[in-house]
Amino acid sequence: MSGANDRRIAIAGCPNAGKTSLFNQLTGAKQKVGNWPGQTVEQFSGEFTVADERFEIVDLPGAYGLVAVSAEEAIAATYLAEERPEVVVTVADASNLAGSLHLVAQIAELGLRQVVALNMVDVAERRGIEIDEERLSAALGVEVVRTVARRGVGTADVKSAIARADGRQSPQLVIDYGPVVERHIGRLVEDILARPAVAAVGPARWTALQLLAGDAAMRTRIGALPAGDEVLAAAAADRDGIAAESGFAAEMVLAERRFEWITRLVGAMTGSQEPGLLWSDRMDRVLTHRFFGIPVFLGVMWIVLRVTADVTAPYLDWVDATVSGPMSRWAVGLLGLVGADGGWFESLIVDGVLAGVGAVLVFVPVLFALYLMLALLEDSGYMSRAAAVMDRAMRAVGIPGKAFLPMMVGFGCTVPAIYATRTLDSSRDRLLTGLLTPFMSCGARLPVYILLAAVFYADSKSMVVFAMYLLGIAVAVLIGFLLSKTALREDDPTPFVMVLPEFRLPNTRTVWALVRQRTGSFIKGAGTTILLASIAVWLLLALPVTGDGGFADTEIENSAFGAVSKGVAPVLDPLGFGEWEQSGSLLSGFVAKEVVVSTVAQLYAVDETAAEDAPGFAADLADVGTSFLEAGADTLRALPAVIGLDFIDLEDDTPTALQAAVRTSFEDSSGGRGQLAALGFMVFVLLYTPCMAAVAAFRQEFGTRWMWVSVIGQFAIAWAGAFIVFQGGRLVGLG
Amino acid sequence: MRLAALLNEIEQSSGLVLGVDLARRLGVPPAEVAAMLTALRASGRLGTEVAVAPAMGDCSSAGSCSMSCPGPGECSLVIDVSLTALEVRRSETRVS
Ligand SMILES: Nc1nc2c(ncn2[C@@H]2O[C@H](COP(=O)(O)OP(=O)(O)O)[C@@H](O)[C@H]2O)c(=O)[nH]1
Repeated sequence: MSGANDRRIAIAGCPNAGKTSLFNQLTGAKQKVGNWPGQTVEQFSGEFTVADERFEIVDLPGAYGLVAVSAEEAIAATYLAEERPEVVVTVADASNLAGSLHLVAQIAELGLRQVVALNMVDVAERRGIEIDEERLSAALGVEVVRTVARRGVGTADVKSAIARADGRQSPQLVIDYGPVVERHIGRLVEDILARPAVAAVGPARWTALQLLAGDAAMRTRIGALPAGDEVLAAAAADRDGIAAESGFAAEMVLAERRFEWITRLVGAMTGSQEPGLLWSDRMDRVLTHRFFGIPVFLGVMWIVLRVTADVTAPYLDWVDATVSGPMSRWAVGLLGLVGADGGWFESLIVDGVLAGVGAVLVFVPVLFALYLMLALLEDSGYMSRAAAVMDRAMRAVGIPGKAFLPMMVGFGCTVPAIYATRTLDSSRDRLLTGLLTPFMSCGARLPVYILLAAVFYADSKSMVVFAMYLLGIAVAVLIGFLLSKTALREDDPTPFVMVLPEFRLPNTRTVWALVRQRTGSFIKGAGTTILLASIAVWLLLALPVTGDGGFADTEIENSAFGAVSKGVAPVLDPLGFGEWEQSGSLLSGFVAKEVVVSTVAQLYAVDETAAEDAPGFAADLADVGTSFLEAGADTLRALPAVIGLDFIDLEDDTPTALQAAVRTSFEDSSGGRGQLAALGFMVFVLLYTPCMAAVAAFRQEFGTRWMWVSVIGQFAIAWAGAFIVFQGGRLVGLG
Repeated sequence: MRLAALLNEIEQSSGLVLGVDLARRLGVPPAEVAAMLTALRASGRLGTEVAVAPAMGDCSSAGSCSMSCPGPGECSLVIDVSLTALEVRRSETRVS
């Protein structure tokens, strides 16, 4: 534990410079976690020994400089200025040296003993950046140590550099801020030195610089001291003086001079040529272009959905066949073994759980493909370009900038998208964005589109799915436009700059981790939400309310579920899907969108298994294996189709029994216009309330009143959308 | 006063501006704009960073529309836009 004799060391650095990595390397397992006094920010501290000398080391929050902007920076700046640790280890990113030197320079100006850990030298080397650390060391008056903190390279050198620096005279860096500023600094320094309480705060030049830069923490600190007011008044006069003489705000002049100083230093150190245009920059000119950006984005989305909807089809069929065939048979067989077959229990397992959960699990390959494509786009850096492109389009119609962040998230899942609105600062922007995110088509809606598109639009499945995604964006933009012109008028938006990360080849491990995690949570959802919903639907289906059937032995039309669904059905009649089965599945879809699929499967409970001769277990197992391989071969053959090269016709012409039942039902409910009705149904699924979790999240973020506005609004929009599709389509003679 | 020119360019835009666009407008390489932005950030003239991840604090395992979204942790269905956005700090708040 830390004793009175321990030397205090602080470790500072910009976010992502590798501070935590170095801290872990220095301290090993000896770490303590607490909070910074009066803050929710975590404080990590630890200790290490070098040459029998024990050091206590504190990990400061990430900071770009000592004129604090964020709460984290304020903590770091205050700690350094007030606690004045024995030695500061500043972690600098060698691959972005100029960016890191602002902090290094300011700490040197503060006159603290400093060891600079020149980290990420491996990255710098890969990019061909060479740094002359001797010169850097001489220019800054500090010791510079090369490290690769992630691998522990240079940790021992950092330790011995700390030991050497400890107790040494601490040089104060003096940057020349030019005649005008220097004159005011000189005057302010005199004012400070004339007042002992203020002079005791720290090096007078440092205090003067912070005051001239307008640092709030320094102002507060000085203001509380005897005669502090006088110094503050003098500083304000000097700031005005600088502004009047130079034509720029004092903090801008200081920033500019420091920037020039750093640029010159880095230029001398790396022998750096002017940075040219990287290929990544050239690509950005096209990808984020005002006009070309949008078609590129649409093209990318098209490829994503093409792969998702078409290439995975063989696997989808495989899972479907496995779940409805062998797995159902095995379940029945198992139930027979324990003597529980034939009764309501078998019905629960087969018609409830297997039909419901199985119908959703069928879509695992689809979601896997979707998540794989999204992960590739994310990790390559394209996603941020897409966000920028979408932002442009949306801002053109008055939707706030930054709304696109939550909206991109919405393509994955609506729930986190609603929480992501917290990144917006005005409550108006948050609410507006929160109202729009549910229209972005989330992953859970995909199974519904694919199920129906496979039945009614087998030849243009991916086109239909793509259209749904586009429609979702279009509706969001339209509603956003209307709201921002009426109820939620825009206030003056804060400008902000977005720096795009460089393009890179996606990292296999990152991509795989993302895909596994997301597909995993889809499967987990099937095992929890969908399972519960399937059992609930089964119970409601088993419960007779009319007719003379008993429990689990009633016509489903006479069940509780049937009764409620029939009550709702007339509302949906004008949309072409007014059969009670359809209204029933939409009702249960309030829980989650996959439940639409599981309910459809339960309602059209088609006994595929009974019709066939049951093969033996071994034959089943062999069949599962060979059909999996066939699915793999089919997928490979389907790949060229993604870019429009259709070599073979993969569409399976024999629809499954479920597909046939769905087709009959839609044809019946729409007076023979099944295609139109199915399209309307998909539009309805796209636009109405995504799921209960999203409603709960919305309520938590925006309150009950707005929750109802959003639920009712979404229902109305969904109804109107499906109405336009079905009745409009009928009018113009489609379907 | 290159930084002042850059800041001026940013303040005249509304909403989001891309680093590449600023580079185009000022006629300098994007890498230089990035360095200048860092300088503005380090001097306290560009404000808080915006990223999606921090807002996800309350949303863990919101698997495909699962029923609840409890506790801090990471949400597996968040699409990572992984970008850094720097907001302009209004100069009014900085006048002493
Ligand atoms: N290539 C490379 N990566 C590093 C190095 N040091 C840290 N990293 C990685 O950079 C990322 C950020 O590091 P971290 O220590 O969390 O940064 P902090 O934000 O400053 O605490 C992590 O993924 C580290 O593994 C290094 O020297 N070389």
